[in-house]
Amino acid sequence: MMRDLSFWRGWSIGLRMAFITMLPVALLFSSFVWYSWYSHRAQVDEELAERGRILARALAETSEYNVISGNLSDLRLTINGLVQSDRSVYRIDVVDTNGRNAVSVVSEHPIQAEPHSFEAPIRKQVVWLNLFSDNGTPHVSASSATRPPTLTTEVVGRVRVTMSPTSMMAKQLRRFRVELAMAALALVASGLLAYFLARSLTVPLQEAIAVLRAIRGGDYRVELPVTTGGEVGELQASIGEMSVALDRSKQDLENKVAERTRDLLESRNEALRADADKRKLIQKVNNIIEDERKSIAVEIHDELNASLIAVRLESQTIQQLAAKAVPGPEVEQIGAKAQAITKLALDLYANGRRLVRRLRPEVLDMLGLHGAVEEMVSHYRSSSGIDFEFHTEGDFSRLNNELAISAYRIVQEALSNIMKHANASAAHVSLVLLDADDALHIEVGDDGEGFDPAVSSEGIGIIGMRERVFAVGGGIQVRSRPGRGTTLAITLPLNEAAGGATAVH
Amino acid sequence: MLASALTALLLASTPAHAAKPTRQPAQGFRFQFVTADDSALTQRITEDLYKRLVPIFSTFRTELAQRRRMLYVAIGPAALREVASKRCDCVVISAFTSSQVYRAIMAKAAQGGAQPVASTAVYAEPSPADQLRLAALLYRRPVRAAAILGADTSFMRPALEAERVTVLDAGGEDINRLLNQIAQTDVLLALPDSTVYSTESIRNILLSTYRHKQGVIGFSSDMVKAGALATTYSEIEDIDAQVAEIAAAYVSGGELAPPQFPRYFRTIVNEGVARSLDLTVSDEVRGFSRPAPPRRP
Repeated sequence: MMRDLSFWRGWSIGLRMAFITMLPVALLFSSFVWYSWYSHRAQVDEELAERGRILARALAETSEYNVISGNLSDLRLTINGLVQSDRSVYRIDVVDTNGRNAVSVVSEHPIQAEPHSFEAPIRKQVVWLNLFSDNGTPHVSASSATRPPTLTTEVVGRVRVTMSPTSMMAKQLRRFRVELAMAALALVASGLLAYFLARSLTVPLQEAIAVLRAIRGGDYRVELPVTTGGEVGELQASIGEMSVALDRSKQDLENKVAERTRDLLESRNEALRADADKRKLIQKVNNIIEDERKSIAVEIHDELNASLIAVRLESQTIQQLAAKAVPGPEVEQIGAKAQAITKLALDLYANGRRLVRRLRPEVLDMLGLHGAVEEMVSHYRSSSGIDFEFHTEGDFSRLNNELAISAYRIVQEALSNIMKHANASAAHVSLVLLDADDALHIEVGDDGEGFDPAVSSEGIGIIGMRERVFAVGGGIQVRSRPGRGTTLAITLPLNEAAGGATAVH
Repeated sequence: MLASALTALLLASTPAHAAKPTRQPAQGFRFQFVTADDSALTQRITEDLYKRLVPIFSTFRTELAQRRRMLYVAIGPAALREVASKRCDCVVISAFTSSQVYRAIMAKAAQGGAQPVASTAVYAEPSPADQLRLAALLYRRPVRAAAILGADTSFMRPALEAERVTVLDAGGEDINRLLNQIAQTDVLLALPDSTVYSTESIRNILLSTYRHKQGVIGFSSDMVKAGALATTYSEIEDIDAQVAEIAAAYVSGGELAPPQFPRYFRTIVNEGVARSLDLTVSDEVRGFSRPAPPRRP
């Protein structure tokens, strides 16, 4: 119900204005037209009734003599003249007391009769006079001062007048038409006024809406001249001021953004430069570390292990000498000590060898990356019980020493992580060197516990791997899900410059 | 029947209301008014008449009262009817009664055998002769007059015909037809006759004559005011003077004058009707009268 009453809510302002302006006028118009028509009709009815009554009474008065005297031709002439000259009279009948139609005249005009007629009795009028009859009163021929009470009068007939509304209605209809035309003219004038009023409101509003749309579209440099006064004029002025303010604000904002962008670019370039420097530094450090390791390994191999071999040879010599000496407790003790020293020297030598291997994967020099990694994998397989798979593809001879060491260290760190954290039962290591992109693709995966990369923070191992990869201009990707293992995919470009980070301007 | 008889006895202490016949010859006269009502009009008539009659009867001595002849003055038709039925040695003067009614009452009394010794009357209606003279004055030429007479007024036919008045006998005929018959005359002389002129017919008669362009010479001022052309009329004092004259003559000479029309009269003209009949009313017409001599104090 309420929704039905709110049908106007979807109307435009122009329609509302027209409605507000026209509704009272239309109501006024319709009520005026209705009242005018009703009034004309009522006027016809009243006038006909009045004329009918008056005519009947007047004819009754004048017909008295004719009805009494029987001079009906005279009366018929009079009534006929009246009926034919007055178009509002349809018919006049004079009826005597016996109900006989004494005179009956019908209009010759093409008019219609009213359903009812007006009647007036024809009374024989009695003039009171002292006619010197035998009634008891003295007969005085001079004027008498007193008059007797009204005497009853005798009805000698009736006059029946039937009126016709045709002529009067035609007259009233003409007047009604004029009124209707005037009212319609007023209605049209009101309509035009409403139209211009509505337009004076809608046109500025539509312009304002168009301007607001342009502003919404980002065009702040719009012009909306103030064409009218009042609230709409204020709206136009406000929109104009708003567009200017928005344009200025946008300009300021753009300036600020450009400034900030410039600052950011500078910061980013600086960061990139710092990053590149850091990577160079890391690379340098790694190289230095590797060189240092290598020199330490050489030192241990050449000096310490040679000395330990000498110690072993010397202790073996003491042992042989003791065996050759006179047995005695001291000799046995010396022999035992010498044997212990030999064993100690051998252990130290073995430790030294292990140290050298760790410091300087000489297998890399001997077997190349492929062999070194395979040897490392087999070493972990044998020592951990994890089922390792190893897959290689490509010609690894093209790898330079530095990249090979980096790759070796990365795989070493990855396998170390599997051993330490993955709790895996199987793992695989893949080394693929593709000519297509001229890069080495390393993939190390396991079926261990895995982790959520979004939640877990990177450990030192992965950070080290990442820095090592970035140092040679490569890329690293860690894919892992809890319970679904972890896969490490690393790409190392053979040509470092190709994958190196570039500064952004 | 007499509602209120104003009895005026002159020089007599004995009430003379019931005047009985006496064997002694009459040696004087006394009078008595007989009235049928005590209206203002009747009172006015009797008061004026009393003043006029008192000097006439004052010569007769009181002690002769028993032998004085009673003179009744009947005022109006009802009073006349009452007094006419008396069998007495009395004389009756009828006043304020039309000739038609007077004659009818007296005729009826004569038939019954009860009748006064003598009676006379001053008729209420104007004299036809005066009326015809008035008509001639109005038209300034000899006029063709007509009159409609009923049974009771037919006694006037010879006199009227002598004046060349066209006389129609009503005889129960329709009044309209009668009026059509006299349509060619100038004047209708209306004479009081209840069979012709009644309250119901008078309007019709006035209208008909008007349409026939006839003037009606009526018989009273009221009739002129109602639409008649003109009439001569007599005031109460005029009639009273005439009654007093008759009484004085009778008292002094013993001879009772015959019934007569009013002697003193004035004229009233309906100027509107006269205009519509294209009559110019002259001062002569307006002043047409015969005034009564002034009453002695």
